Amino acid sequence: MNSPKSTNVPTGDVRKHYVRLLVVWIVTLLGLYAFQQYFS
Amino acid sequence: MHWIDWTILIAYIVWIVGDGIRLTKKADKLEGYFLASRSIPWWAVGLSVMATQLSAITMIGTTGQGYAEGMRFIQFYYALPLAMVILSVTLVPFFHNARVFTAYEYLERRFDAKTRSFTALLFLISRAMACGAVISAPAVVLSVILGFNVTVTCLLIGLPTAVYTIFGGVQAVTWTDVKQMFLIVFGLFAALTVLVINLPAEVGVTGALKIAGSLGHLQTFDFRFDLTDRYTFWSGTIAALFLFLSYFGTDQSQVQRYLTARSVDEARISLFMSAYWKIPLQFLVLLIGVLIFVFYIFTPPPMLFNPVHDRAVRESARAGDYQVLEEQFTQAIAQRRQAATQLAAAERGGDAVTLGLADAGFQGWNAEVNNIRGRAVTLVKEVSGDSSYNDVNFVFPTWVTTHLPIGLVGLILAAILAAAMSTVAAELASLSTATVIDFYRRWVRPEADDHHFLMVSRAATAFWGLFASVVAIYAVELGSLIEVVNRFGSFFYGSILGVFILAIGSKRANGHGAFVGLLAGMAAVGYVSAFTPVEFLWLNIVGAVTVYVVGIAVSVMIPAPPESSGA
Repeated sequence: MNSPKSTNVPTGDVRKHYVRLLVVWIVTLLGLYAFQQYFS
Repeated sequence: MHWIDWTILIAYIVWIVGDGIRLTKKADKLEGYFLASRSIPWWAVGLSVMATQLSAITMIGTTGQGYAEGMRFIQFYYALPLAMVILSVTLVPFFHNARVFTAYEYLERRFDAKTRSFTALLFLISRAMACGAVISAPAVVLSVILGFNVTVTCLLIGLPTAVYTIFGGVQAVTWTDVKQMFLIVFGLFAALTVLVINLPAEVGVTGALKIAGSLGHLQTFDFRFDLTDRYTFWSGTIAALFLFLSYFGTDQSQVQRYLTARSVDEARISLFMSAYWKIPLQFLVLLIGVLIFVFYIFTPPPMLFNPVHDRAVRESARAGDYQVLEEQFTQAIAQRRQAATQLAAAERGGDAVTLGLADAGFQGWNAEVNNIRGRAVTLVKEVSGDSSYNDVNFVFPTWVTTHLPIGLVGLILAAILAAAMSTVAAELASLSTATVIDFYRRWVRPEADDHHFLMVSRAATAFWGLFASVVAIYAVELGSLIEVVNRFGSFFYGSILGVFILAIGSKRANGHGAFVGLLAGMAAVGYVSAFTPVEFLWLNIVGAVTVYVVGIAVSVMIPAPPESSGA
């Protein structure tokens, strides 16, 4: 099996996406909840 | 349909096939044909991943679902961003650095040939049948809408897609996916714009959403923990997480997309595109369905959206019953429209008592409309003998062809075709790859050169294109069989994920453990599915956990010989 370890660690650019994704995910879910509450 | 719309539709097909074939010259080596020489930029891979997942079933089925049940289906996608992050740190680097063509090829390096071949075989069976379903579902609807024989519409989707996939390989699949994705999104925004413009002035967007919301159609969160309910917050965040890990992480139709990326990080970022945009995109699709529902409150809808069944009942001995229902339906629709207008007015400025009365009146008339439509559907079932009759898939195409301006009709029908073709192309390419790499090159002609494999690959793509089209054509007759096969597919999605978790998550696991675990996982899922009311999403967890536990146990009990112990 080829070892994937050499490039297994994400670069800084990818790591920034993890944080952004977490923020966007939470904001999206909160937005959808607000949408449901406002119009129901 | 107007000749301008036909021209747009035909021009789209000619353009997309020509564009795909243009890329033939870049597919003269096996790695070029199957992996685009690992040269595709992240944004194109990301759009291709999204286009593959967004099939015509999404365009017509999900809008229909939005029309009939509202937004609750969106919960299904809540775990998708999480799945993408997990995959980007686990399977994506493993596949990329192993320089494999298929996900299953990696399993032989880690475990053994039988585990690889068995998972690849399961993929071929399920994906080939699913490919037929991806063609047949829109083909049936388009055949009714366009007035063609269903064989013609199946071939209209299957043949052009097969042609550009055969010649252009994954290069063609990816770059046509990119263009098709733009067309799909443009079509969706065009539909949304027309819906918003056509809302009655006294209602407006806010009023329309309040009306839909009053019926619970804007429910985006259902926190009940019920294993028998398909779409809840918990099934969407826990159970669907396993499904997405399996689909994006182990299904060759998706893995092949990001294996074409230029580097591991580009592959990771390509998946993040879905993580960012999938929920908003699905929101858009469902919102269109919800707004079509509101549109048909103020514009009389047909009682049945499938004109073939509508005509069949009118020409049957039960035509009299149907006519009575239609008269009642027309009156109820008029009353519901009036009640909705009063509700919108009360929302704008009425007191709580007026609002409550208007709301109760609207709810009552909406229930009456549903009741009459339900009786009409029962009548159709009795006349046609088709007990599974459901016309929600016809809602969006009916609205498009009867209420959109000339030009836009052709454009949106082209977008529906694009959604079907982009998914089918990726599936044909992945079926061909697994056939050639996991079976032909592995077992039949390991020593052959690239030229030979390329020829066999094109033949395999042609074979699967033909197979999928034939399955699609006979899908109506084979309806229950295809459902069984697709259900069979859901038996091993979670189980295959379990094998990959074993592969990268446990140094102890060996080929025997993985293989026995896979069989045990499928058996456990079969048992739970047959003898409990648990909804299918949760079966993915059952499969993955069983494979892991049994796989580890068997690996400990029957250690592999040193030369085949893998990593």
